[in-house]
Amino acid sequence: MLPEFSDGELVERAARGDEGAFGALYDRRQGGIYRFALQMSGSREIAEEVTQEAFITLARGLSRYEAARGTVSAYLYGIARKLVLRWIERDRGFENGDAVEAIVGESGPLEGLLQSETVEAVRRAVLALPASYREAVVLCDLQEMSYEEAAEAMGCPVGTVRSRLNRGRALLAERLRAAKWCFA
Amino acid sequence: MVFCMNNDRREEMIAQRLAELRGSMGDFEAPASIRPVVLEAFRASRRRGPAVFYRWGAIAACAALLAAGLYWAWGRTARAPVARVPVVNAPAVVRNFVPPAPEHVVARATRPLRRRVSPSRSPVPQELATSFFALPYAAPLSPEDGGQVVRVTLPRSAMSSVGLPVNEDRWYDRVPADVVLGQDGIARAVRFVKVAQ
Repeated sequence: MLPEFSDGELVERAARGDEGAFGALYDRRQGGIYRFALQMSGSREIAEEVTQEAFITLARGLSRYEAARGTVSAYLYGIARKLVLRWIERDRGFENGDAVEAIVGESGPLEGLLQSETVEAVRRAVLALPASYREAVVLCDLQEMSYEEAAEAMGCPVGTVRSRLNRGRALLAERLRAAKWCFA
Repeated sequence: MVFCMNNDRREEMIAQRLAELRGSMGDFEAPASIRPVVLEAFRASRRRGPAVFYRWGAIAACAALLAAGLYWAWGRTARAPVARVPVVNAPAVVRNFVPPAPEHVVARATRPLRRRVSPSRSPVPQELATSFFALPYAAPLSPEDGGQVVRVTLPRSAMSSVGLPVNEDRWYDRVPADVVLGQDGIARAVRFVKVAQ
């Protein structure tokens, strides 16, 4: 029954103390938040921490959410973005991708070795992007958010999202070309 | 050729690679161990709501009590200059009290000391006074007769006339005194005052 409600309605019900509504919202959004944190940080540990903290922050500040200012999804991604950037700032090692864990292939279906290596190379190239370009690529290309939603989550104008995305893609292409994975 | 691809082709290839990455992580989810932690945090935040309300309520109540206490204490302090004068056996004729005034001021109507005066802004000299001594050969006043108190200075020798001890060396020094005057202008009682700065 609860899955029929929109995110906003679930937040309203949760704010009135409905634990089931909050649980339904968590079930609906935890995957995206977790993947976003994982794609941004390259670390499962950080992704788990960020996911947990993001929802705890939401639970403690349900009354602070204003539907007029954006979607629940963008609100949650905004919280997660701040948390993951704090983690990245704390551990600069993830910036250059050297400390990135090998993720692809561990949880998903086993694919061909070449494809796995290609995906892993793309993932490393994304992680090697500067954080401001990386978040635009992750939100728009990997999380498939609209420019407007990404702008809400990033707290910047839509035009900024577009420009960062273009620049991020260009940098990504350069890195992949250098690694001979994109156009071989 | 790698270096001859146009931008559209490059965009298409990038999008394809990103889609592959997206697909490879599509089923990634947070570990199941996080859910109970988050729900417990939700329950804790619900429990904390009333507790926070009561805590702030208690703080507000304490602040109100403290403010009321300070207001009461401040009021007492402001009235202290009048209350500290140890008047004992004051005659009933005293209706108004004249604060310390120059020597030549006589029989001046005064207003009641109702206005609060901040001790820090206008320090009032503290006074110690004897009890009133009835003057001989004067008819006593009843409360209906009314009267006024005037501040004068008298030679210390006048203190001996009511039985108070006087230092011989300061026999001719002058000392402040409050004299009770009847409606007829005749002095009925006197007390001696020591002004402490």
